[in-house]
Amino acid sequence: MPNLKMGSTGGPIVTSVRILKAHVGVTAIDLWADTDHNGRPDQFLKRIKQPNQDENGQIALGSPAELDGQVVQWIWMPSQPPMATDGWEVEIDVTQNGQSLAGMPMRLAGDYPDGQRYGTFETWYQMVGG
Amino acid sequence: MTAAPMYYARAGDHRPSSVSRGAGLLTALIASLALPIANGRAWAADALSPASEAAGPPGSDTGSNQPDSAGLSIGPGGSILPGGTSQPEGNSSSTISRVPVEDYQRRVKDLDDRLNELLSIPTTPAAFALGVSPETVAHPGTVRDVVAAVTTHFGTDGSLKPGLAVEGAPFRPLFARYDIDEWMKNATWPMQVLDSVRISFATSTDPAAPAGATAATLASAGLRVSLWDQRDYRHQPAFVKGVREALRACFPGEGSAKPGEGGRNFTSVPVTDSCERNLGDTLDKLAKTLTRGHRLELAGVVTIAQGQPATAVDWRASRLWLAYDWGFGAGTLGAAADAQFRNNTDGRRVTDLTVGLRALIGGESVKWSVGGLYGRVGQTPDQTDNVLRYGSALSLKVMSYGVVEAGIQGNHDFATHADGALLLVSLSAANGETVFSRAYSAGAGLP
Repeated sequence: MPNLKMGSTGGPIVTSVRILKAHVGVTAIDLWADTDHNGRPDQFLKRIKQPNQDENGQIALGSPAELDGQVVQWIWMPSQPPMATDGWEVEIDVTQNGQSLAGMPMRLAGDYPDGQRYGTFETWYQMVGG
Repeated sequence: MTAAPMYYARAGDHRPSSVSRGAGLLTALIASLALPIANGRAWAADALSPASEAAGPPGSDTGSNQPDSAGLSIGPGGSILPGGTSQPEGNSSSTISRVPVEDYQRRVKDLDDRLNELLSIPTTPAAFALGVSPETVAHPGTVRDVVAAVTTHFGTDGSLKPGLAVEGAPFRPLFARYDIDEWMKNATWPMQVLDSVRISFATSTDPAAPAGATAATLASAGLRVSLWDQRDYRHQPAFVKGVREALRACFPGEGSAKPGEGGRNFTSVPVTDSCERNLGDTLDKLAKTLTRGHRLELAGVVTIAQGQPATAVDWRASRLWLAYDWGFGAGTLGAAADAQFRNNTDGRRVTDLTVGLRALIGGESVKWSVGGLYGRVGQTPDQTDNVLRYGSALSLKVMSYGVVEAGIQGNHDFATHADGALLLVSLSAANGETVFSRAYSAGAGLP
Protein backbone atom coordinates (compact mmCIF):
# COMPACT_ATOMS: atom_id res chain seq x y z
CA MET A 1 0.00 0.00 0.00
CA PRO A 2 1.30 3.50 -0.79
CA ASN A 3 2.95 5.14 2.18
CA LEU A 4 5.28 8.00 2.99
CA LYS A 5 7.98 7.69 5.61
CA MET A 6 8.35 10.63 7.98
CA GLY A 7 11.20 11.34 10.35
CA SER A 8 9.68 10.63 13.78
CA THR A 9 11.89 13.18 15.47
CA GLY A 10 11.71 15.78 12.69
CA GLY A 11 9.54 18.85 12.38
CA PRO A 12 5.91 19.16 11.33
CA ILE A 13 4.70 17.84 8.00
CA VAL A 14 3.66 20.30 5.31
CA THR A 15 2.04 19.53 1.98
CA SER A 16 1.02 21.27 -1.22
CA VAL A 17 -1.07 20.31 -4.22
CA ARG A 18 -0.58 22.56 -7.23
CA ILE A 19 -2.47 22.49 -10.49
CA LEU A 20 0.21 23.06 -13.13
CA LYS A 21 0.17 24.42 -16.69
CA ALA A 22 -1.69 27.41 -15.26
CA HIS A 23 -4.98 25.59 -15.48
CA VAL A 24 -7.53 26.94 -13.04
CA GLY A 25 -8.85 24.57 -10.41
CA VAL A 26 -9.59 23.89 -6.78
CA THR A 27 -8.19 21.28 -4.43
CA ALA A 28 -8.87 19.77 -1.02
CA ILE A 29 -6.95 17.64 1.45
CA ASP A 30 -8.77 15.09 3.60
CA LEU A 31 -7.46 13.06 6.49
CA TRP A 32 -8.55 9.43 6.92
CA ALA A 33 -7.89 6.73 9.51
CA ASP A 34 -6.92 3.14 8.83
CA THR A 35 -8.88 1.51 11.65
CA ASP A 36 -8.40 -2.07 10.49
CA HIS A 37 -4.68 -1.54 9.88
CA ASN A 38 -4.79 -3.00 6.39
CA GLY A 39 -2.94 -0.06 4.86
CA ARG A 40 -6.10 1.44 3.32
CA PRO A 41 -8.20 4.36 4.55
CA ASP A 42 -11.59 3.36 5.90
CA GLN A 43 -12.77 6.17 8.17
CA PHE A 44 -12.99 9.84 7.29
CA LEU A 45 -11.57 12.10 10.01
CA LYS A 46 -11.55 15.69 8.79
CA ARG A 47 -10.95 18.01 5.87
CA ILE A 48 -7.66 19.82 6.36
CA LYS A 49 -7.90 22.09 3.32
CA GLN A 50 -11.15 23.37 1.85
CA PRO A 51 -11.55 23.88 -1.91
CA ASN A 52 -10.91 27.46 -3.06
CA GLN A 53 -8.87 28.27 0.04
CA ASP A 54 -5.08 28.68 -0.05
CA GLU A 55 -4.93 27.23 -3.55
CA ASN A 56 -1.39 26.32 -4.64
CA GLY A 57 -0.13 27.16 -1.16
CA GLN A 58 1.56 25.28 1.66
CA ILE A 59 -0.76 23.43 4.06
CA ALA A 60 0.32 22.20 7.50
CA LEU A 61 -0.70 18.59 8.15
CA GLY A 62 0.55 18.13 11.70
CA SER A 63 3.36 16.56 13.64
CA PRO A 64 4.77 13.11 12.76
CA ALA A 65 3.31 11.71 15.98
CA GLU A 66 -0.17 12.96 15.11
CA LEU A 67 -0.01 11.67 11.54
CA ASP A 68 1.56 8.28 12.17
CA GLY A 69 -0.68 5.62 10.61
CA GLN A 70 -3.15 8.10 9.20
CA VAL A 71 -3.94 8.57 5.52
CA VAL A 72 -3.73 11.85 3.66
CA GLN A 73 -5.97 12.16 0.62
CA TRP A 74 -5.46 14.84 -2.04
CA ILE A 75 -8.40 15.78 -4.24
CA TRP A 76 -8.04 18.10 -7.22
CA MET A 77 -10.54 19.50 -9.68
CA PRO A 78 -8.82 21.26 -12.59
CA SER A 79 -10.55 22.92 -15.53
CA GLN A 80 -9.30 23.25 -19.06
CA PRO A 81 -8.73 26.90 -20.01
CA PRO A 82 -10.65 28.54 -22.85
CA MET A 83 -9.16 27.71 -26.26
CA ALA A 84 -6.84 25.08 -24.73
CA THR A 85 -6.80 21.45 -25.81
CA ASP A 86 -4.24 19.95 -23.46
CA GLY A 87 -4.74 17.75 -20.40
CA TRP A 88 -4.17 18.58 -16.75
CA GLU A 89 -1.10 18.11 -14.56
CA VAL A 90 -0.71 18.39 -10.79
CA GLU A 91 2.24 18.37 -8.44
CA ILE A 92 1.87 16.98 -4.93
CA ASP A 93 4.64 17.53 -2.41
CA VAL A 94 5.04 16.56 1.22
CA THR A 95 7.89 18.13 3.14
CA GLN A 96 9.46 17.95 6.56
CA ASN A 97 11.96 20.53 7.70
CA GLY A 98 11.81 22.00 4.19
CA GLN A 99 12.86 18.74 2.54
CA SER A 100 10.60 16.64 0.38
CA LEU A 101 9.90 13.16 1.72
CA ALA A 102 11.15 10.20 -0.30
CA GLY A 103 9.15 9.85 -3.52
CA MET A 104 8.09 13.49 -3.41
CA PRO A 105 7.34 15.79 -5.15
CA MET A 106 5.12 13.72 -7.38
CA ARG A 107 3.66 14.86 -10.69
CA LEU A 108 0.52 13.30 -12.05
CA ALA A 109 -1.04 14.06 -15.43
CA GLY A 110 -4.14 13.03 -17.30
CA ASP A 111 -6.78 14.04 -19.79
CA TYR A 112 -10.08 15.67 -19.06
CA PRO A 113 -13.05 13.31 -19.34
CA ASP A 114 -14.49 13.10 -22.84
CA GLY A 115 -16.67 16.07 -23.66
CA GLN A 116 -15.86 17.89 -20.43
CA ARG A 117 -13.57 20.79 -19.63
CA TYR A 118 -13.15 19.78 -16.00
CA GLY A 119 -12.59 16.67 -13.94
CA THR A 120 -12.18 15.53 -10.33
CA PHE A 121 -9.43 13.16 -9.22
CA GLU A 122 -7.94 11.85 -5.99
CA THR A 123 -5.07 9.89 -4.57
CA TRP A 124 -3.73 9.13 -1.08
CA TYR A 125 -0.72 8.01 0.95
CA GLN A 126 -0.48 6.53 4.42
CA MET A 127 1.92 8.39 6.68
CA VAL A 128 4.28 6.16 8.64
CA GLY A 129 6.97 7.01 11.17
CA GLY A 130 10.54 6.29 10.13
CA MET B 1 6.14 25.50 -61.94
CA THR B 2 2.43 24.82 -62.00
CA ALA B 3 -0.47 27.21 -61.97
CA ALA B 4 -0.62 29.31 -58.85
CA PRO B 5 -3.45 28.08 -56.68
CA MET B 6 -5.30 30.12 -54.15
CA TYR B 7 -5.38 28.57 -50.74
CA TYR B 8 -8.58 28.57 -48.84
CA ALA B 9 -9.89 27.29 -45.56
CA ARG B 10 -13.22 25.95 -44.59
CA ALA B 11 -15.62 28.09 -42.74
CA GLY B 12 -14.96 28.08 -39.04
CA ASP B 13 -11.21 27.71 -39.10
CA HIS B 14 -10.76 30.95 -37.29
CA ARG B 15 -10.20 32.01 -33.74
CA PRO B 16 -13.33 33.79 -32.60
CA SER B 17 -12.93 37.51 -32.80
CA SER B 18 -14.54 39.57 -30.13
CA VAL B 19 -15.30 42.13 -32.78
CA SER B 20 -17.24 39.60 -34.75
CA ARG B 21 -19.06 37.99 -31.90
CA GLY B 22 -21.36 39.06 -29.18
CA ALA B 23 -22.39 42.24 -30.84
CA GLY B 24 -25.96 41.03 -31.28
CA LEU B 25 -28.21 43.64 -32.74
CA LEU B 26 -25.35 45.95 -33.51
CA THR B 27 -23.62 43.31 -35.58
CA ALA B 28 -26.83 42.66 -37.37
CA LEU B 29 -27.19 46.35 -37.96
CA ILE B 30 -23.79 46.83 -39.44
CA ALA B 31 -24.30 43.66 -41.40
CA SER B 32 -27.42 45.17 -42.81
CA LEU B 33 -25.76 48.46 -43.54
CA ALA B 34 -22.19 47.77 -44.51
CA LEU B 35 -22.06 47.98 -48.25
CA PRO B 36 -21.04 44.92 -50.14
CA ILE B 37 -18.79 45.88 -52.94
CA ALA B 38 -21.28 46.06 -55.66
CA ASN B 39 -18.96 45.63 -58.50
CA GLY B 40 -17.84 42.09 -57.90
CA ARG B 41 -14.21 42.52 -58.88
CA ALA B 42 -11.84 39.66 -58.47
CA TRP B 43 -10.98 40.89 -55.00
CA ALA B 44 -14.53 40.33 -53.91
CA ALA B 45 -15.15 37.15 -55.82
CA ASP B 46 -11.79 35.65 -55.16
CA ALA B 47 -9.83 36.64 -52.13
CA LEU B 48 -12.67 37.22 -49.71
CA SER B 49 -15.60 35.23 -50.96
CA PRO B 50 -17.01 32.70 -48.48
CA ALA B 51 -18.35 30.82 -51.47
CA SER B 52 -14.81 30.44 -52.72
CA GLU B 53 -13.72 29.14 -49.36
CA ALA B 54 -16.43 26.58 -49.28
CA ALA B 55 -15.07 25.31 -52.55
CA GLY B 56 -11.80 25.39 -50.70
CA PRO B 57 -9.38 22.74 -51.90
CA PRO B 58 -5.94 24.08 -52.56
CA GLY B 59 -5.16 24.68 -56.14
CA SER B 60 -8.76 25.19 -57.08
CA ASP B 61 -8.61 28.41 -59.02
CA THR B 62 -11.96 30.04 -58.42
CA GLY B 63 -11.24 32.26 -61.37
CA SER B 64 -11.26 35.97 -61.20
CA ASN B 65 -13.69 36.18 -64.12
CA GLN B 66 -16.32 34.06 -62.43
CA PRO B 67 -19.50 35.72 -61.25
CA ASP B 68 -19.72 36.26 -57.53
CA SER B 69 -22.70 35.34 -55.42
CA ALA B 70 -24.53 38.43 -56.55
CA GLY B 71 -24.18 37.49 -60.17
CA LEU B 72 -21.60 40.13 -60.91
CA SER B 73 -18.43 39.58 -62.83
CA ILE B 74 -15.38 41.41 -63.96
CA GLY B 75 -14.43 41.95 -67.55
CA PRO B 76 -11.03 41.72 -69.14
CA GLY B 77 -10.45 45.42 -68.84
CA GLY B 78 -11.48 45.51 -65.24
CA SER B 79 -14.84 47.07 -65.99
CA ILE B 80 -17.77 46.30 -63.79
CA LEU B 81 -20.29 43.98 -65.29
CA PRO B 82 -23.46 43.79 -63.22
CA GLY B 83 -25.29 40.68 -64.26
CA GLY B 84 -22.79 40.11 -67.01
CA THR B 85 -23.61 43.28 -68.94
CA SER B 86 -20.87 45.63 -69.88
CA GLN B 87 -20.39 49.05 -68.41
CA PRO B 88 -17.81 51.53 -69.55
CA GLU B 89 -14.73 51.91 -67.40
CA GLY B 90 -14.82 55.00 -65.28
CA ASN B 91 -18.57 55.21 -65.29
CA SER B 92 -19.62 57.55 -62.56
CA SER B 93 -23.35 57.67 -63.11
CA SER B 94 -25.01 59.33 -60.17
CA THR B 95 -28.63 58.29 -60.62
CA ILE B 96 -30.49 57.62 -57.40
CA SER B 97 -32.90 54.74 -57.32
CA ARG B 98 -34.78 52.77 -54.74
CA VAL B 99 -33.59 49.22 -54.17
CA PRO B 100 -35.24 46.35 -52.33
CA VAL B 101 -34.23 46.24 -48.71
CA GLU B 102 -33.93 42.44 -48.84
CA ASP B 103 -31.49 42.56 -51.69
CA TYR B 104 -29.52 45.14 -49.83
CA GLN B 105 -29.46 43.07 -46.63
CA ARG B 106 -28.31 39.97 -48.45
CA ARG B 107 -25.41 41.82 -49.96
CA VAL B 108 -24.47 43.45 -46.72
CA LYS B 109 -24.29 40.16 -44.88
CA ASP B 110 -21.69 39.10 -47.38
CA LEU B 111 -19.46 41.99 -46.41
CA ASP B 112 -19.97 41.33 -42.74
CA ASP B 113 -18.89 37.74 -43.24
CA ARG B 114 -15.77 38.90 -45.01
CA LEU B 115 -14.95 41.32 -42.23
CA ASN B 116 -15.49 38.58 -39.66
CA GLU B 117 -13.12 36.38 -41.56
CA LEU B 118 -10.45 39.01 -41.89
CA LEU B 119 -10.62 40.07 -38.27
CA SER B 120 -9.98 36.57 -36.97
CA ILE B 121 -6.74 34.75 -37.59
CA PRO B 122 -6.96 31.06 -38.56
CA THR B 123 -6.43 28.87 -35.53
CA THR B 124 -4.26 26.48 -37.49
CA PRO B 125 -2.61 28.35 -40.38
CA ALA B 126 -1.07 25.28 -42.04
CA ALA B 127 -4.42 23.48 -42.17
CA PHE B 128 -6.11 26.69 -43.34
CA ALA B 129 -3.66 27.06 -46.20
CA LEU B 130 -4.46 23.63 -47.57
CA GLY B 131 -8.19 23.68 -46.90
CA VAL B 132 -7.92 20.99 -44.24
CA SER B 133 -10.74 20.99 -41.71
CA PRO B 134 -9.54 22.25 -38.31
CA GLU B 135 -11.44 19.40 -36.65
CA THR B 136 -8.99 16.91 -38.13
CA VAL B 137 -5.90 18.64 -36.74
CA ALA B 138 -4.11 16.58 -34.09
CA HIS B 139 -2.73 18.25 -30.98
CA PRO B 140 -0.02 15.94 -29.63
CA GLY B 141 0.78 16.40 -25.98
CA THR B 142 4.56 16.15 -26.26
CA VAL B 143 7.30 17.21 -28.64
CA ARG B 144 8.08 13.54 -29.17
CA ASP B 145 4.52 12.94 -30.35
CA VAL B 146 4.77 15.86 -32.77
CA VAL B 147 8.00 14.50 -34.22
CA ALA B 148 6.45 11.05 -34.51
CA ALA B 149 3.40 12.42 -36.33
CA VAL B 150 5.57 14.34 -38.79
CA THR B 151 8.11 11.60 -39.46
CA THR B 152 5.43 9.01 -40.27
CA HIS B 153 4.46 11.22 -43.20
CA PHE B 154 7.92 11.02 -44.74
CA GLY B 155 8.80 8.25 -47.18
CA THR B 156 12.21 6.57 -47.16
CA ASP B 157 13.28 8.73 -50.12
CA GLY B 158 12.27 11.92 -48.31
CA SER B 159 8.96 12.21 -50.13
CA LEU B 160 6.03 13.72 -48.27
CA LYS B 161 2.79 11.82 -47.80
CA PRO B 162 -0.58 13.59 -47.72
CA GLY B 163 -2.82 13.44 -44.67
CA LEU B 164 -0.70 15.18 -42.06
CA ALA B 165 -2.43 17.85 -39.94
CA VAL B 166 -0.78 18.60 -36.63
CA GLU B 167 -0.32 21.56 -34.33
CA GLY B 168 1.98 21.93 -31.35
CA ALA B 169 3.05 24.44 -28.73
CA PRO B 170 6.82 23.95 -28.62
CA PHE B 171 7.52 26.22 -25.68
CA ARG B 172 4.66 25.21 -23.43
CA PRO B 173 6.64 22.46 -21.68
CA LEU B 174 9.03 25.15 -20.44
CA PHE B 175 6.18 26.79 -18.57
CA ALA B 176 4.24 23.71 -17.50
CA ARG B 177 5.59 24.00 -13.95
CA TYR B 178 3.67 27.23 -13.33
CA ASP B 179 0.40 27.19 -11.50
CA ILE B 180 -2.08 29.93 -12.25
CA ASP B 181 -1.12 32.05 -9.25
CA GLU B 182 2.59 31.92 -10.07
CA TRP B 183 1.91 32.73 -13.70
CA MET B 184 -0.26 35.73 -12.88
CA LYS B 185 2.44 37.03 -10.56
CA ASN B 186 5.66 36.21 -12.39
CA ALA B 187 5.10 35.74 -16.12
CA THR B 188 7.09 38.27 -18.17
CA TRP B 189 6.15 39.46 -21.66
CA PRO B 190 8.68 37.21 -23.45
CA MET B 191 7.34 34.24 -21.48
CA GLN B 192 3.81 35.06 -22.52
CA VAL B 193 4.79 35.39 -26.18
CA LEU B 194 6.75 32.13 -26.21
CA ASP B 195 3.95 30.33 -24.41
CA SER B 196 1.52 31.43 -27.11
CA VAL B 197 3.59 30.14 -30.03
CA ARG B 198 1.82 27.48 -32.07
CA ILE B 199 3.40 25.72 -34.99
CA SER B 200 1.42 23.65 -37.43
CA PHE B 201 2.13 21.35 -40.33
CA ALA B 202 -0.20 19.93 -42.95
CA THR B 203 0.13 17.98 -46.17
CA SER B 204 -2.32 17.17 -48.94
CA THR B 205 -2.40 16.09 -52.54
CA ASP B 206 -2.26 18.92 -55.06
CA PRO B 207 -5.71 18.97 -56.67
CA ALA B 208 -4.46 21.29 -59.42
CA ALA B 209 -2.36 18.54 -61.00
CA PRO B 210 -3.33 17.87 -64.63
CA ALA B 211 -5.32 14.70 -65.26
CA GLY B 212 -3.08 11.72 -65.73
CA ALA B 213 -0.06 13.42 -64.22
CA THR B 214 1.46 12.38 -60.91
CA ALA B 215 0.02 14.78 -58.36
CA ALA B 216 2.47 16.75 -56.29
CA THR B 217 2.15 16.79 -52.54
CA LEU B 218 1.45 20.18 -50.98
CA ALA B 219 3.00 20.87 -47.60
CA SER B 220 2.36 23.86 -45.37
CA ALA B 221 4.17 25.04 -42.28
CA GLY B 222 2.41 27.64 -40.15
CA LEU B 223 3.14 29.77 -37.11
CA ARG B 224 0.74 31.65 -34.88
CA VAL B 225 1.77 33.85 -31.99
CA SER B 226 0.03 36.23 -29.66
CA LEU B 227 2.12 39.37 -29.23
CA TRP B 228 -0.21 40.99 -26.74
CA ASP B 229 -3.26 39.45 -25.17
CA GLN B 230 -5.00 41.09 -22.26
CA ARG B 231 -7.94 38.76 -22.84
CA ASP B 232 -5.90 35.75 -21.83
CA TYR B 233 -7.68 34.31 -18.79
CA ARG B 234 -4.38 34.48 -16.95
CA HIS B 235 -4.70 38.27 -16.96
CA GLN B 236 -8.24 38.17 -15.60
CA PRO B 237 -8.39 37.59 -11.82
CA ALA B 238 -12.18 37.88 -11.91
CA PHE B 239 -12.37 35.01 -14.37
CA VAL B 240 -10.09 32.83 -12.23
CA LYS B 241 -12.15 33.62 -9.18
CA GLY B 242 -15.38 32.83 -11.03
CA VAL B 243 -14.09 29.49 -12.27
CA ARG B 244 -12.90 28.49 -8.83
CA GLU B 245 -16.24 29.36 -7.27
CA ALA B 246 -18.07 27.37 -9.94
CA LEU B 247 -15.80 24.38 -9.38
CA ARG B 248 -16.12 24.59 -5.63
CA ALA B 249 -19.90 24.37 -5.91
CA CYS B 250 -19.46 20.95 -7.53
CA PHE B 251 -16.55 19.77 -5.43
CA PRO B 252 -16.98 16.49 -3.52
CA GLY B 253 -18.12 17.02 0.05
CA GLU B 254 -16.02 16.10 3.06
CA GLY B 255 -15.24 12.39 3.06
CA SER B 256 -17.31 11.74 -0.07
CA ALA B 257 -14.39 11.13 -2.44
CA LYS B 258 -13.94 7.41 -1.91
CA PRO B 259 -10.23 6.53 -1.83
CA GLY B 260 -9.07 4.51 -4.82
CA GLU B 261 -5.77 2.73 -5.30
CA GLY B 262 -3.68 5.61 -3.98
CA GLY B 263 -0.11 6.56 -4.74
CA ARG B 264 0.60 7.31 -8.38
CA ASN B 265 -2.60 5.51 -9.39
CA PHE B 266 -4.98 8.40 -9.09
CA THR B 267 -8.72 7.83 -9.40
CA SER B 268 -11.42 9.83 -11.13
CA VAL B 269 -14.17 11.06 -8.80
CA PRO B 270 -17.67 11.41 -10.27
CA VAL B 271 -19.58 14.64 -9.79
CA THR B 272 -23.30 14.78 -9.14
CA ASP B 273 -25.68 14.67 -12.09
CA SER B 274 -26.89 18.21 -11.55
CA CYS B 275 -23.31 19.49 -11.56
CA GLU B 276 -22.49 17.55 -14.68
CA ARG B 277 -25.37 19.30 -16.43
CA ASN B 278 -24.66 22.82 -15.21
CA LEU B 279 -20.94 23.17 -14.62
CA GLY B 280 -19.97 22.93 -18.27
CA ASP B 281 -22.47 25.65 -19.14
CA THR B 282 -21.19 27.82 -16.32
CA LEU B 283 -17.60 27.48 -17.50
CA ASP B 284 -18.63 28.31 -21.07
CA LYS B 285 -20.43 31.42 -19.86
CA LEU B 286 -17.39 32.51 -17.89
CA ALA B 287 -15.18 32.03 -20.96
CA LYS B 288 -17.46 34.40 -22.86
CA THR B 289 -16.71 37.14 -20.35
CA LEU B 290 -13.13 37.35 -21.59
CA THR B 291 -13.95 40.19 -23.94
CA ARG B 292 -12.10 43.19 -22.54
CA GLY B 293 -8.59 44.33 -23.27
CA HIS B 294 -6.20 44.50 -26.18
CA ARG B 295 -5.10 41.61 -28.33
CA LEU B 296 -2.54 41.53 -31.13
CA GLU B 297 -1.86 38.35 -33.02
CA LEU B 298 0.42 37.39 -35.88
CA ALA B 299 0.30 34.33 -38.08
CA GLY B 300 2.09 33.14 -41.17
CA VAL B 301 2.21 30.12 -43.42
CA VAL B 302 4.44 28.90 -46.23
CA THR B 303 3.26 26.32 -48.74
CA ILE B 304 5.47 24.25 -50.99
CA ALA B 305 4.82 21.52 -53.53
CA GLN B 306 6.92 18.41 -53.78
CA GLY B 307 6.91 16.51 -57.05
CA GLN B 308 8.90 13.59 -58.40
CA PRO B 309 11.69 13.04 -57.53
CA ALA B 310 11.41 14.13 -53.91
CA THR B 311 14.05 16.80 -54.45
CA ALA B 312 11.77 18.64 -56.89
CA VAL B 313 10.32 21.23 -54.55
CA ASP B 314 8.47 24.38 -55.59
CA TRP B 315 7.44 27.32 -53.47
CA ARG B 316 3.72 27.90 -53.96
CA ALA B 317 2.50 30.62 -51.66
CA SER B 318 3.09 32.51 -48.45
CA ARG B 319 0.59 34.33 -46.34
CA LEU B 320 0.75 36.65 -43.35
CA TRP B 321 -1.99 37.81 -41.01
CA LEU B 322 -1.89 40.54 -38.40
CA ALA B 323 -4.98 41.15 -36.29
CA TYR B 324 -5.69 43.55 -33.46
CA ASP B 325 -8.80 43.96 -31.43
CA TRP B 326 -9.76 45.86 -28.37
CA GLY B 327 -12.75 45.25 -26.19
CA PHE B 328 -13.79 48.03 -23.86
CA GLY B 329 -16.82 49.00 -21.86
CA ALA B 330 -18.59 50.87 -24.63
CA GLY B 331 -17.79 48.59 -27.53
CA THR B 332 -15.13 46.95 -29.62
CA LEU B 333 -12.54 47.93 -32.18
CA GLY B 334 -10.87 45.55 -34.58
CA ALA B 335 -8.34 45.91 -37.36
CA ALA B 336 -6.56 43.32 -39.45
CA ALA B 337 -4.32 42.86 -42.46
CA ASP B 338 -3.85 39.82 -44.64
CA ALA B 339 -1.04 39.65 -47.21
CA GLN B 340 -0.64 36.81 -49.63
CA PHE B 341 2.18 36.11 -52.04
CA ARG B 342 1.62 33.47 -54.70
CA ASN B 343 2.81 32.40 -58.09
CA ASN B 344 0.92 33.42 -61.19
CA THR B 345 0.39 30.98 -64.04
CA ASP B 346 3.51 32.35 -65.71
CA GLY B 347 5.53 31.72 -62.57
CA ARG B 348 5.77 35.36 -61.61
CA ARG B 349 4.83 36.45 -58.11
CA VAL B 350 1.48 38.08 -57.38
CA THR B 351 0.72 39.92 -54.19
CA ASP B 352 -2.69 40.33 -52.56
CA LEU B 353 -3.34 42.62 -49.63
CA THR B 354 -6.50 43.06 -47.62
CA VAL B 355 -6.95 45.47 -44.74
CA GLY B 356 -10.07 45.84 -42.67
CA LEU B 357 -11.35 47.78 -39.70
CA ARG B 358 -14.53 47.75 -37.69
CA ALA B 359 -15.70 49.65 -34.65
CA LEU B 360 -18.87 49.09 -32.68
CA ILE B 361 -19.68 51.68 -30.06
CA GLY B 362 -22.75 52.39 -28.04
CA GLY B 363 -25.14 51.30 -25.37
CA GLU B 364 -28.78 50.54 -24.94
CA SER B 365 -30.04 53.75 -26.54
CA VAL B 366 -27.48 54.83 -29.10
CA LYS B 367 -25.33 52.56 -31.22
CA TRP B 368 -22.85 53.51 -33.87
CA SER B 369 -20.84 51.31 -36.12
CA VAL B 370 -18.29 51.85 -38.81
CA GLY B 371 -16.46 49.34 -40.95
CA GLY B 372 -14.15 49.38 -43.91
CA LEU B 373 -12.38 46.91 -46.12
CA TYR B 374 -9.60 47.67 -48.54
CA GLY B 375 -8.43 45.11 -51.03
CA ARG B 376 -5.44 45.26 -53.32
CA VAL B 377 -5.47 42.09 -55.32
CA GLY B 378 -3.02 41.15 -58.02
CA GLN B 379 -4.91 39.70 -60.96
CA THR B 380 -1.56 39.25 -62.65
CA PRO B 381 1.87 40.64 -61.82
CA ASP B 382 1.01 43.57 -64.11
CA GLN B 383 -2.59 44.19 -63.10
CA THR B 384 -3.78 44.99 -59.63
CA ASP B 385 -7.26 45.80 -58.43
CA ASN B 386 -7.72 48.33 -55.65
CA VAL B 387 -11.13 48.50 -54.05
CA LEU B 388 -12.41 50.15 -50.89
CA ARG B 389 -15.69 49.30 -49.21
CA TYR B 390 -17.02 51.04 -46.17
CA GLY B 391 -20.15 51.42 -44.13
CA SER B 392 -21.45 53.31 -41.17
CA ALA B 393 -24.69 53.12 -39.26
CA LEU B 394 -26.40 54.88 -36.41
CA SER B 395 -29.24 53.49 -34.35
CA LEU B 396 -31.27 55.46 -31.86
CA LYS B 397 -33.68 53.72 -29.52
CA VAL B 398 -36.43 55.76 -27.93
CA MET B 399 -38.06 53.94 -25.06
CA SER B 400 -41.73 53.13 -25.60
CA TYR B 401 -41.61 54.48 -29.14
CA GLY B 402 -39.20 52.42 -31.21
CA VAL B 403 -35.90 52.46 -33.02
CA VAL B 404 -34.69 54.79 -35.74
CA GLU B 405 -31.87 53.52 -37.88
CA ALA B 406 -29.89 55.18 -40.62
CA GLY B 407 -26.92 53.94 -42.50
CA ILE B 408 -24.77 54.77 -45.43
CA GLN B 409 -22.22 52.64 -47.18
CA GLY B 410 -20.03 53.19 -50.12
CA ASN B 411 -17.40 51.75 -52.32
CA HIS B 412 -14.64 53.14 -54.42
CA ASP B 413 -12.80 51.38 -57.20
CA PHE B 414 -9.40 52.95 -57.53
CA ALA B 415 -8.88 51.56 -61.01
CA THR B 416 -12.07 52.87 -62.61
CA HIS B 417 -12.69 55.72 -60.16
CA ALA B 418 -16.22 54.44 -59.84
CA ASP B 419 -18.08 55.30 -56.67
CA GLY B 420 -21.28 53.84 -55.36
CA ALA B 421 -23.34 54.24 -52.23
CA LEU B 422 -26.37 52.81 -50.54
CA LEU B 423 -28.53 54.58 -48.01
CA LEU B 424 -30.91 52.94 -45.60
CA VAL B 425 -33.48 54.59 -43.40
CA SER B 426 -35.78 52.58 -41.20
CA LEU B 427 -38.18 53.03 -38.33
CA SER B 428 -39.31 50.21 -36.08
CA ALA B 429 -41.99 50.21 -33.42
CA ALA B 430 -41.27 49.31 -29.82
CA ASN B 431 -42.52 45.77 -30.47
CA GLY B 432 -39.94 45.36 -33.23
CA GLU B 433 -42.37 45.67 -36.10
CA THR B 434 -41.00 47.62 -39.06
CA VAL B 435 -42.98 50.78 -39.65
CA PHE B 436 -40.93 52.23 -42.45
CA SER B 437 -37.91 51.01 -44.35
CA ARG B 438 -36.33 52.34 -47.50
CA ALA B 439 -33.06 51.69 -49.28
CA TYR B 440 -31.63 53.75 -52.08
CA SER B 441 -28.60 53.42 -54.28
CA ALA B 442 -26.54 56.05 -55.98
CA GLY B 443 -23.51 56.05 -58.17
CA ALA B 444 -21.92 53.40 -60.30
CA GLY B 445 -21.58 49.73 -59.86
CA LEU B 446 -24.68 49.16 -57.81
CA PRO B 447 -27.43 46.79 -58.91
